[in-house]
Amino acid sequence: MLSFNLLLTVCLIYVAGLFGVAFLAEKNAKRKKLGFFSSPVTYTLSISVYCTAWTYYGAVGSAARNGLEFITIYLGPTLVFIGWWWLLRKLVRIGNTQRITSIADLISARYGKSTTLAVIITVLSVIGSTPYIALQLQSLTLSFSVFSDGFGGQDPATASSLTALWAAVGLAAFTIIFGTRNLDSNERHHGVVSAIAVEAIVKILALIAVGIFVVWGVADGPNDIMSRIQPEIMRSQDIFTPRWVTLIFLSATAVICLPRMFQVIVVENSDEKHLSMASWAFPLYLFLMSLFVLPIAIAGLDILPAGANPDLFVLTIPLTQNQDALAMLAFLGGFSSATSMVIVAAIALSTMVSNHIVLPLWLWLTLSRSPTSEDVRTLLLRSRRISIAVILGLGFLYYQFTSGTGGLASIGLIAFLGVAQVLPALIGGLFWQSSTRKGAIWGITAGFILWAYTSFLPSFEGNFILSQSAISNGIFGLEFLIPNALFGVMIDDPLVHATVWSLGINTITFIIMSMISLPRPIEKVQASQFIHIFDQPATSTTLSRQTTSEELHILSQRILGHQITQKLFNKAARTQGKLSGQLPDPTNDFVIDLEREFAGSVGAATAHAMIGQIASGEAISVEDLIKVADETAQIMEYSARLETQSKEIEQTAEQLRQANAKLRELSEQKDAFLSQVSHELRTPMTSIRAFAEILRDEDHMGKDQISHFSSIIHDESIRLTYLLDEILDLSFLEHGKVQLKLSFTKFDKILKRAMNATQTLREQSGAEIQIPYNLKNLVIETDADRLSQVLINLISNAIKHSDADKPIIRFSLEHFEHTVQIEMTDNGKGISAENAEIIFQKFAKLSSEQGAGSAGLGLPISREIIRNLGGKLLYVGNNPGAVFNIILPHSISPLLDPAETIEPAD
Amino acid sequence: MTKKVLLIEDEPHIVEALSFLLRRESWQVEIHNDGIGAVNKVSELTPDLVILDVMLPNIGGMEILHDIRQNQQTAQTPVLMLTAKGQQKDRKAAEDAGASLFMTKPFSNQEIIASIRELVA
Amino acid sequence: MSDLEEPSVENLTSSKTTEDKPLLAQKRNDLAALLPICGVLFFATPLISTITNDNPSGIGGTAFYIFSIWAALILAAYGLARFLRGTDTNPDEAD
Repeated sequence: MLSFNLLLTVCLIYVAGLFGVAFLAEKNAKRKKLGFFSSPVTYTLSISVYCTAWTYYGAVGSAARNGLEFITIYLGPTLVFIGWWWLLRKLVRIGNTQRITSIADLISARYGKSTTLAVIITVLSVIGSTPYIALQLQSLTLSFSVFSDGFGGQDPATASSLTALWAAVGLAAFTIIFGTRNLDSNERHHGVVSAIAVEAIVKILALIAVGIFVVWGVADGPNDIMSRIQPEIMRSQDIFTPRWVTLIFLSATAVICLPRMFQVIVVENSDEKHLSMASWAFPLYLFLMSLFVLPIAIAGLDILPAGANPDLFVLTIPLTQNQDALAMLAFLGGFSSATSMVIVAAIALSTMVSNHIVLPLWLWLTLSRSPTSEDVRTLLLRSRRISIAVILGLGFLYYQFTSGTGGLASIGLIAFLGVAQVLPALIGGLFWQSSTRKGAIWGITAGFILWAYTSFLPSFEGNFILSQSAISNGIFGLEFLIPNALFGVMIDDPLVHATVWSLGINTITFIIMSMISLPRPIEKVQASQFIHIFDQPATSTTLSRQTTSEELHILSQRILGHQITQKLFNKAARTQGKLSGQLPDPTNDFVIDLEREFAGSVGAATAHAMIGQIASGEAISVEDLIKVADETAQIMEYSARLETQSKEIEQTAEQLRQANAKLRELSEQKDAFLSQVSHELRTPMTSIRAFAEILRDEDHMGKDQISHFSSIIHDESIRLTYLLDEILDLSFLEHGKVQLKLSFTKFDKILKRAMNATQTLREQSGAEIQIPYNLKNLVIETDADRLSQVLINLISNAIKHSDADKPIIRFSLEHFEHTVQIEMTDNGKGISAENAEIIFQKFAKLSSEQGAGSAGLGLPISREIIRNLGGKLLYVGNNPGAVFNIILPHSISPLLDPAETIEPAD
Repeated sequence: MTKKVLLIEDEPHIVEALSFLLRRESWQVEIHNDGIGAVNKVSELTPDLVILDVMLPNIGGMEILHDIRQNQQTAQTPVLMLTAKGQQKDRKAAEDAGASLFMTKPFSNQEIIASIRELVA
Repeated sequence: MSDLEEPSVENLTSSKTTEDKPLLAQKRNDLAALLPICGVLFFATPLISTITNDNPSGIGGTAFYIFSIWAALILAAYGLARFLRGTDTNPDEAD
């Protein structure tokens, strides 16, 4: 049997060794030569702080009591780590870019750097972790008590308390020495991490050694072990139960949300690539940790007397087999498990307490009074040291309170569920854009209260706040308030019951409150920074500050210390092109960098508040500062909105410009037309007026002369009338306002009218019109007057412009499916290419055309008439005389025999 | 001394009316009814006055005026412009191009004769 | 004719290369999600009891099942980590 003194000596040597490792790592870290101490292996081993004394000793106990259930505690983290790409990678990236110092800091930063949230999560973490620390103290004292002969005849209870007290004091000392040496902007503790990596190796070696001894030393290999299985383990065969799933879920949650796990995975991570190794190496570590748990449990139940504490099988089996060295190693493994957990948890919690509670409180109390009071740096370190002592003290008190009650495992699981209350806000914060601070606060608070009521307080078994009767009969005897059957929901397993209630209500509250509340602008900014962390380089929105470098320098010295401040400010001065020793300008970039450095020391929310406080130059509260940030974000939003608006206005303006150009074009066309009309009207009026005045003023005129002048006036008047008629006609035709008198008419009849109207002209020129028989007989539904008007125009144009001695105008007819085409050709010289373009324009007087009688509206009117009749009038070229085509729709009504409706041809 | 007036105008009735009025004043009237050849006619006849219509076939009156003013021989000849387009900008353009007077159709006989008298005096 | 066809061929190839990168990233993300989903499927669904209940060797068989799957997942995670490290260049760029 080992003597207690020997045990104590070995322990002290071991602890001294850990101190040495920690010192060495710190020294190397200062020289920037970390090597192994910052390798992915160290990182992975430090994550094994997950395996506490609870898992080290308790897993075997759990296996002995409940079979394979213990394995769930390892399966959950395995699932999280093999899915690292989706969650852990994002957490680590955010942690590194935003200089996150704790899980409370992460959540508070995500939800708009909210101090309230940070405080809630800090309180929750402390309450959830205290029993866990007590658990480690308990396992330490238990393991010491195995060697109880060494207590030197003292009362076992007093001895246990003393052991626990000394353990707490020792751990506090170690943590304070290595956990609060400096205020690194990265909040990394190389010494502690290295010591923990060493402890990780010790605990796994110890457990494997005991396992190998059990399988091949006590038993004769795996088969022999299997044959020794007790019926009580066999009993729990159907392992897929609600409890099974709940345990996997809770352990998966715990590996992210436990403050100490967040500390080692996210905060202590120095390189994102380390995570990819941890993704398989940490599950492998867990695999090896659990490999021999079942054999040890089976062997313990087999060879140790009934009633032996299964939680201590790892120690008691080697002891009973007189393997003192192995027992020593097993003890050191358990010692390592307990101490590493306590140290890291204390660091993580003290960071949270000092950054999120002490510092804001101090800021609120003092900075408003005098900004040059105590050194923030000293305050932070002091508050952390005190926090560590207080946290370990709380753990010790809890241990004293509950010693002798409850299995180790149940306390661990209660802690898991406690910190799991952060999960909805965390996951929502990383993936759900609309989640809000209100949602997070209410969700976590609701979950926290339910957890306390259904799980945490009942664990005291009536010794704390809730009495025994309240636990079994409900508070005030109200049955629906029985902690283990809330509102009559009967779930056999209290843990599953508490999980469903607390996390269910938490999640629902979180979602509903997020949906009914609006995120503040700063939350939106942070939300998109967190959710889209991989899509964008890290930027920070800050207001342009009016601050002096001196003030920033003073503040920075307080928080970061003199040396780091000098380094930072010199670097910034150099980048701004200033001499070393000069203070850099407080540019936005510099202030953002500084805030980030501060965030590493005091957390995002506090750093934001402190910088803001200096920047604004007046004493205002954290809430006021957040309002300022909000306003900036709002201004940005407004300006974005204005930009959109101005774009819309630009578009409208462009449309207006286009419409305006169109109108101007139309107006110019109208002006040109009016000008033309004016000219065409003024010309005959000139003659009329001139001759009228001559007739009026002249006394001695011959009768012939008077009659000649009068006839000119008469002719010009007619021309004027005719012109006005044409203009009106064209206007009506263009606007489609003409009433067409459609009827089935034989073409011959239309033609005759045209012939009559042009008779004088034809006889004067001796023109000949050739009309084929089929055209004469064509029966067409049309307006006969209008069509004859077109023919008159075309015929008279052809005769007027003909240079032939005897103008010949030839008509021909062609039928198409729905149309007829009447072609008119003359024997003139045709229309020149130059004129061909303008013949259909209004008032287009051909260059060769002279004299009165034509205002140039004939062809435009003709074209409009044919268009109104549903056809087309086209000039198709010269052959060699001009060729015009009249295309008209042609459909013979089947109901009507056209021959009967037309007048007989004459 | 008999004054010589060249009338460049394509509307036959207006030509007739103006000729009647001018001859009554015992002026010698020469007539040209196309844009083409108008400038040559001016230099050929060296009239005391040119009455020039703005709207002429083939070559516009403004162009003819410009050419008249370019020609050394005819640069000083008074030109009375007639237009049926009563637009202000045409008047401005005609005056800039060197028209001695610009009248809009229809005109008063008395007025045009008085103006011509002034121009040829 | 060939003058007309050439630009369209170029368009096709260029659009393909621009689409490849997000597509690859998407596939990589999907692959990374596959492993934890498999883990949940094997460990936290009734699958675990249907497989292990048929096993006559009792708790030993169940343990064997769990440890085998576990080992396989660790191996797969090892392979995945190597693969992902080869494709993910973001952390370097971010630094």
